[in-house]
Amino acid sequence: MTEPVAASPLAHREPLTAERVSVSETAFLGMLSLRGRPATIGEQAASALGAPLPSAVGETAVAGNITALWLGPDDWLLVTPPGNEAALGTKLSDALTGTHHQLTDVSDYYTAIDVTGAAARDVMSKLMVIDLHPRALKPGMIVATVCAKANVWLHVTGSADRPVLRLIVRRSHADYLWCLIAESGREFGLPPQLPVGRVKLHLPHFE
Amino acid sequence: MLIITCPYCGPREQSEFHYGGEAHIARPADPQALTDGQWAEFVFMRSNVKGVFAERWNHSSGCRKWFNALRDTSTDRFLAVYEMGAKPPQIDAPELRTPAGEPLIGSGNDETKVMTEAEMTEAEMTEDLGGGS
Ligand SMILES: [Zn+2]
Repeated sequence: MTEPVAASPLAHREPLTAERVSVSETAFLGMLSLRGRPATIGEQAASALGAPLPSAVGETAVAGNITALWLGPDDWLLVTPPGNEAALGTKLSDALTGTHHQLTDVSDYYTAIDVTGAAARDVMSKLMVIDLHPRALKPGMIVATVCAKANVWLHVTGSADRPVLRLIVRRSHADYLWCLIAESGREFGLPPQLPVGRVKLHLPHFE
Repeated sequence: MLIITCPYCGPREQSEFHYGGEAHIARPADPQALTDGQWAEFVFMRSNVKGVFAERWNHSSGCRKWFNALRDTSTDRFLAVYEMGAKPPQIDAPELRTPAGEPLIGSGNDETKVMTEAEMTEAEMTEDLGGGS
């Protein structure tokens, strides 16, 4: 029998760098999907996480090395460094025993593409409809939306003028989005990226 | 671009949503007891109103929650959104108006018809256009 090997969906890509924007993958993040009614699981979840679950659209909560992202009124994504997901899952499911909830390790489903730098918002605003301006999207916020027709969670960190736009994407969408982001960043000096399978890329707003 | 206000996420673009058809259609408690006609009535028949319509939407690319909305089908204006399981809120339904000022029934193009009924001869009005028997 062969041992399972962790393989990121963007293992064939190298980080992209230009003067005002960079693109890189943060692979193997631990991610847990937590679902349940806040009134039912809120207290136990908060004591296990060390912070209350965020309760409204756009909100995130940070407790140590865990970031809880609000995805819906009964839906959260807990992001933690690679390898920490099993321990966090055990801790949470112990705390939530006896409550009606769902806790699923979804680390394998997603990867994270980080678009950083002063021009990061300009690169991404060509691919997304939501307002990326710092007056609307501040560091510490999460948005579930569409990026070039693919569902993404956009988690913003960093500062207003040097944001880190983290796109949490399905692994099967990762290469498509990676190449589109590079294409969108061509005017800022990002190199072209040929998609696996040599699919022709079109920026949806420039067709 | 149509903006839809999700009750959980606020205003978002239509491309984030999926449509779920008419709201408040209760599934029959005992489907086995229905005739084919009654079952077809439940499965297929919808009110298809021109005006205020209660319908279901799913914020599929956002919070992924279902919700209900009241929408004026003649103007595409959303008049209210409310949670699944809730009764439709009372709204001050605006008088039915479309950008073209159409009537309740029909296309409303009467004024642009080349010939009015008054101008037609009786022969033209009773003319058999079908070529049938
Ligand atoms: Zn929503």
